[in-house]
Amino acid sequence: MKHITYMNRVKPYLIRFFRSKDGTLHAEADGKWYGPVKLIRTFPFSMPEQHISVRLENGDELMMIPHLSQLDEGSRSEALEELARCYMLPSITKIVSISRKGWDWSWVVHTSYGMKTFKMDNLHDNMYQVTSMSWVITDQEGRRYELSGVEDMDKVSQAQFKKIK
Amino acid sequence: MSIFSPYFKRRKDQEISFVTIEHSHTPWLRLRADVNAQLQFQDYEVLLYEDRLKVVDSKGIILLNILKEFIQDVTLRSSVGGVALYIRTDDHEQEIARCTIPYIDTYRAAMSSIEQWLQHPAERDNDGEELRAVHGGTCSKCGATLRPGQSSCLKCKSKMFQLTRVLRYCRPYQNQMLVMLGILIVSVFVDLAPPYMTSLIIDEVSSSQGKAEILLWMIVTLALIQVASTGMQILRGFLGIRIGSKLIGDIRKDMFHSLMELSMRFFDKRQVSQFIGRINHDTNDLRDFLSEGMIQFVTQSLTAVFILAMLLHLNWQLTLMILLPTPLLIMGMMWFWPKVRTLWYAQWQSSISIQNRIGEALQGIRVIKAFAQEWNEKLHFDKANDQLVQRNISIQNMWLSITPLFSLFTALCGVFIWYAGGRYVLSNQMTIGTLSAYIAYLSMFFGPMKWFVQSMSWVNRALGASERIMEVIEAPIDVADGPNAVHLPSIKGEIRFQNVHYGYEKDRQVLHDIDLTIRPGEMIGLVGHSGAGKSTMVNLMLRFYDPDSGNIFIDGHHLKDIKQEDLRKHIGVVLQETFLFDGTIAQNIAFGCPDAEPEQIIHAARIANAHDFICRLPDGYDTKVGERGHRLSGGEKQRIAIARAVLLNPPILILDEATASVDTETERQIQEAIQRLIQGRTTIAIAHRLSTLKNADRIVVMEKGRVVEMGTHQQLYERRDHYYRLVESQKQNRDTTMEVG
Repeated sequence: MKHITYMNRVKPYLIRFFRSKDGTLHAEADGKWYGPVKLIRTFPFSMPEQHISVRLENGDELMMIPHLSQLDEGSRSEALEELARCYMLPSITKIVSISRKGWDWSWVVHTSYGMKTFKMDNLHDNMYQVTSMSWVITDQEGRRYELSGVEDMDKVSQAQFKKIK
Repeated sequence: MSIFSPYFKRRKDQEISFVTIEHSHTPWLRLRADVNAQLQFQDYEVLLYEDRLKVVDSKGIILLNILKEFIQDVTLRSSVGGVALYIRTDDHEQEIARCTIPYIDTYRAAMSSIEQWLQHPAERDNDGEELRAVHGGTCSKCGATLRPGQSSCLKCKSKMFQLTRVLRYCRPYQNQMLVMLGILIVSVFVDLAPPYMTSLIIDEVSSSQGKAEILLWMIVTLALIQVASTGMQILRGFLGIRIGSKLIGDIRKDMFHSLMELSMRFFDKRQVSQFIGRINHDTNDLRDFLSEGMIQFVTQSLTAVFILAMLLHLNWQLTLMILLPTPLLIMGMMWFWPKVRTLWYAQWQSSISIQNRIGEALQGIRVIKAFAQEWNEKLHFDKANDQLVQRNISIQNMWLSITPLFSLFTALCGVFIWYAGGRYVLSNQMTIGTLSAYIAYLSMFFGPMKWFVQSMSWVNRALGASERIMEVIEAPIDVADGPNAVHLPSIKGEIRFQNVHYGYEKDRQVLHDIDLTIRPGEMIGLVGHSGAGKSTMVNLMLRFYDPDSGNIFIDGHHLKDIKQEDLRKHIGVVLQETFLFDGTIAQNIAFGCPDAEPEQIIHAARIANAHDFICRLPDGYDTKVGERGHRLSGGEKQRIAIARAVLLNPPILILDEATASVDTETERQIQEAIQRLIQGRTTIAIAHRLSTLKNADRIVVMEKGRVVEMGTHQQLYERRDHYYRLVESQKQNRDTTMEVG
């Protein structure tokens, strides 16, 4: 793959994130100050902390961060907080129950946003498989939830999930 | 718990101290929110009063109370999966509400009012109004948001709704079904007679006073009963096939018709290959239930009731003993029911997944082969296939364990009857003939019981199929005709976009505040980078989708007030990717006007510069184009599409990258055809090759979903802004290409 030229591969540790007085995220890279900046997950489901695109307000890409772990601790924590606000996609951490009630599928789950009960019209249109072991689930009202790593969840969650998959 | 994030905390104390003025009036706007600043689900409300803004949690506790005079600005920020409302006070920005997708439209709709409120302290008459999702109301029973086109919540309709909806298909055949039911009832009686006759024969034969003459009559009666039973069985089969075939035809027809009526959004979210199988398999499953299943249900139920009556008549004490474990059986079935339902659904999902895999692989076979990815496709298919095999095994295993258990139960019952019945015979309380009749009836009684247990499987399958069929037939149409939609036999061709906003996904807007009026007969060139929203504008104009907010008018009529069929008859479309159907060239040209005369087809082809190449084909206009027109080149397909539009003769014409994928000579021919086509029509042309739009009356430049420039080629070029840059970058590309070439 030697013929591929990667653009904007600035050394990652050269970028630093901080909050301005008004609470917006700014960046400092190569001695220059940029702000406000936006962070975009290029692989939001499969690699949420890798390949983060840093963009200016006009949409231009400032750089691509291969992995957030390469940032200093302060910047990493600011970046994670910003990403959490930009991606409102609760991830399911525990499945309490999945049951069929009349026409609907009812899910009771613990998510990164707290406990939630939601309904789905059906599974075949509302569970989208992203990778071999991760799904995006859409409830009746259009909210999306991420479900991955069921094999690492407790036995109840695994048993509930096994009922449908 | 505070809903505000830590770095806002120190500001919050100050804000609470702003509360100095007593106010008693009600809020003029209430906005619900469901996520707090710590990104946890929490229900609360943003209340806007004349003089202040409050944030109140579900218990009525005030979380924020701020006077309007301290608010400098209000902004709404989009995230993936939601929005957040921010206020700026004293040069500091603060998040005051955050909500998920169901509330996004409400917040967007509220923003202009909030901005007005900030600027003008005008009186409002919508005191306390709660803005809800702008596109639909809510169900009065469950509170669920109704989708556009839904008059009531499907889930909250009577529980019998689904069944009655399905049974509606039986209505045209009710007379035949009643005849069948009559035959059935008679059959049940007839089928009950042989064991009774047999017992009489046994008693007659074993009796010392038995007479040969009586025996002969008994044998003749038994033979006649058998003949009648067979005759009725044949008649039932004949009627069953007739009704079943017609039923499946009706359901399939309704399903396909519904698919044709559904909006683009329905298909955007689904793999369409699945519907091929669903129309076939689901309707078959339902047919089995409606024709065979219901009849079987009635037959088996009647049989069970009559046999039970017979058993009670022969020996009620024995019968009550047999019935003792029945509640256990019913409880077992109820425990089993949801498991069977889930297993069948999982099995169906696997089979749909295989179908989708095959459909996608075959549609993309050229790409798969070009990239030598056959092995990868095989791998994916094998995985899906293995899953289906596993699920089939699970279902079969389940039945394999149930059937022997049921057989054991019936066998034990038989053993018990031999013992208890034998004792009755020994004590002369029962004749040997009665005992043999009892045992024959008992085995007949277990027939319906066994059927009820086994029917759990296919009743579940049929119910699942009916749900999925109704899912399509009853699916809400996102872009339904308005209640006052009218026919529009002719139009002049004026198009007006008024403050149009739209996004394919609620959390990602593609068009922002589009205001544009196109005069009748005007040619508009829509230009801009990929993803600027050009094709989306065309999609909205054709009413494939409805704007999230704002309006579109044609000749002053709101698009919702025009019958969609009429609307699309007035708009001709030539797209970059032309879809040809597997028919002849003539049929494809006449797609929009099936009654067109051959002369009209040829005339349209001449205008489209297609006539000459068609004449060069050995089969001329009768040439089969193959699936999706794969036997024709890109330019040829394009010219057929233009001929199609010519024949339709629409007052409005949309050309979406009509010459993007052809060589220079073909492009010249197509351009020539287009120039003839656009005469006297309102034309909207999207083109990356800006040179093709030089003659447009106006060029509209779009960037990131907004109209950023408008004017003639000359005016825009001289302005040296967006359009100028597009033209110059294209010139550079062409020069570079020339150098390389």
